[in-house]
Amino acid sequence: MKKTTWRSWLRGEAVTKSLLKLGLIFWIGSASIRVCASEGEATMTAITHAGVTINISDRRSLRSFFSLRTRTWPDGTAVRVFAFEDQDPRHAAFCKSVLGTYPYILRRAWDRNLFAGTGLVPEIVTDEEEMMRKVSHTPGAIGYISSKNAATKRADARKRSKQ
Amino acid sequence: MITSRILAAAVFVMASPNVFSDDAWHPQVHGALAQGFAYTWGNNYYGDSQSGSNDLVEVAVNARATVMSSLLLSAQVMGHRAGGAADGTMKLDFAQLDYRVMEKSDGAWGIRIGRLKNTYGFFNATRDVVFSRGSVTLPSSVYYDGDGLRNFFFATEGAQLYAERDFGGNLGEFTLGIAPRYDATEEFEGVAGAGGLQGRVDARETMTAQWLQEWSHGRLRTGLSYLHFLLDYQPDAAAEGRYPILLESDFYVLSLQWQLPTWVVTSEFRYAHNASVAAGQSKAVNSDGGYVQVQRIFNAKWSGFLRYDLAYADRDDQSGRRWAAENAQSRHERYSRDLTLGVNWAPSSRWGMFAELHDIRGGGNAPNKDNMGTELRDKTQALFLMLAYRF
Repeated sequence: MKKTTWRSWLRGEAVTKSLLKLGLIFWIGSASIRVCASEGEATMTAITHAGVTINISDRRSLRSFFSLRTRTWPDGTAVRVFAFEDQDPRHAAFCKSVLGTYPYILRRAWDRNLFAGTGLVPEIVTDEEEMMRKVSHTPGAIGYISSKNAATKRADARKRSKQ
Repeated sequence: MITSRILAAAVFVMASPNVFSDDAWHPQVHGALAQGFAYTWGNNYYGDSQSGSNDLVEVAVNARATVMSSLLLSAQVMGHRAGGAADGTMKLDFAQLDYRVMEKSDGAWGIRIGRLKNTYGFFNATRDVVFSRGSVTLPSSVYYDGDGLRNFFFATEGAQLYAERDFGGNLGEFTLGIAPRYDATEEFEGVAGAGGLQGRVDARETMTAQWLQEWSHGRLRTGLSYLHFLLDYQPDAAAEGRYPILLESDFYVLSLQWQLPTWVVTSEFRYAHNASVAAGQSKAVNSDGGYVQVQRIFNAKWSGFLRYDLAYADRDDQSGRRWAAENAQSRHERYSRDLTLGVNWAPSSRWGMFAELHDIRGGGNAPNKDNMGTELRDKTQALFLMLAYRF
């Protein structure tokens, strides 16, 4: 009895060949488009609510918070994650330069929490003002802003404390 | 099921901002809506698709709240319409109480009880809506997407023990689940052939186990899943020509995924051993299947994939010739080989458009109820479209 193998099937079918060709054209045609960070990409910094006192500068901890694996801070406060839209270049820059991952990987982790019910999910914000306002007013919050903006805010805070 | 419904009602009430405003509970309500369209040449999928079918609808609403920092409640109701296999009635998808016993920066473990999603392959736990599975259809070789077994594989009522540990960039996750005996008749109504089920199906034993491992900070993911069922079919007293059936099934899934900046290569292989006793005769069948998918992420909004999916009803008779000779039926009912080209467009985090072209050989993944009264054809070409919104 002759077994049908996937190789013989692939060889014999015109429609399959057409689909494969279409796929190949699609792939090659897109080769010039890149999701990688551009050279002018913003540098991002993680920020937290004032009540968060532990050092979270290492990549491993940050990735654990932003991929929603760690649900609580050591003092028992729930971790509340704030982020920009998936398509926002600042989100891509933060994922790549700070977390060392890609937006689509983070999105899959979030969707798993969202549609499998295994944790809280991030709140999406639209601009840095909203990000700073929500992170500063939400206990246990963690988010990110551009490093330039963070430096300005730190300088403002120092100025206010001197006055 | 009643306990899960009470739990789900409690979660939705707690998450409702109009009823309670205690922000300490961190109530969150989200959901997704999706409308699909199917047009096929050959066999029907998702209704009468040869005339163009829009019988592919998904509506999911979920809620979650934290009662204590270590206790999370979550529930989801979902209406899933998929031709004859699912009628779109809103049903409880999951309702769980998740208690995290221990959490440290490098690991955690806990328990979940309620109606829980079965850990099976990379995608079973997130197969509800098109956003989380990433394509209109999941590979039927592993997920039984086309033949109506979705609900049965999807979730069971029981308990799960889970643990995860980060070994310096290599994250390991282990989940073990068990479920007490439950009535699975409703889950099997969708796959019953002509004449309906005419009886009751009891899932006497259900067990799941999964080990997922991420290597090199998630660049490579591997997984091993195990699913065990012992099913007991008892025909109605009035059912003629039906015999009691005892079916023991064991499923094993090996999963691999390589995640690069612009490419994602995913492959999963499923092996199943089914042993049954019916009318005093015992029978054992081994079936297998698998797929390879290459996804290209063009930019933050566009991606595409090419997938080849193979499924065989009998590992020892992959062509179906022996079965065809013994049963005087077409051999192509015993396998499916599906080549898929898909394109996804996500203009924002909320909207998604999904399109797929399929070239299918064999009718093994064609839903019974969508092809009643017609002989399954060997060749099918299909176009599936889906527009989705989430909130």
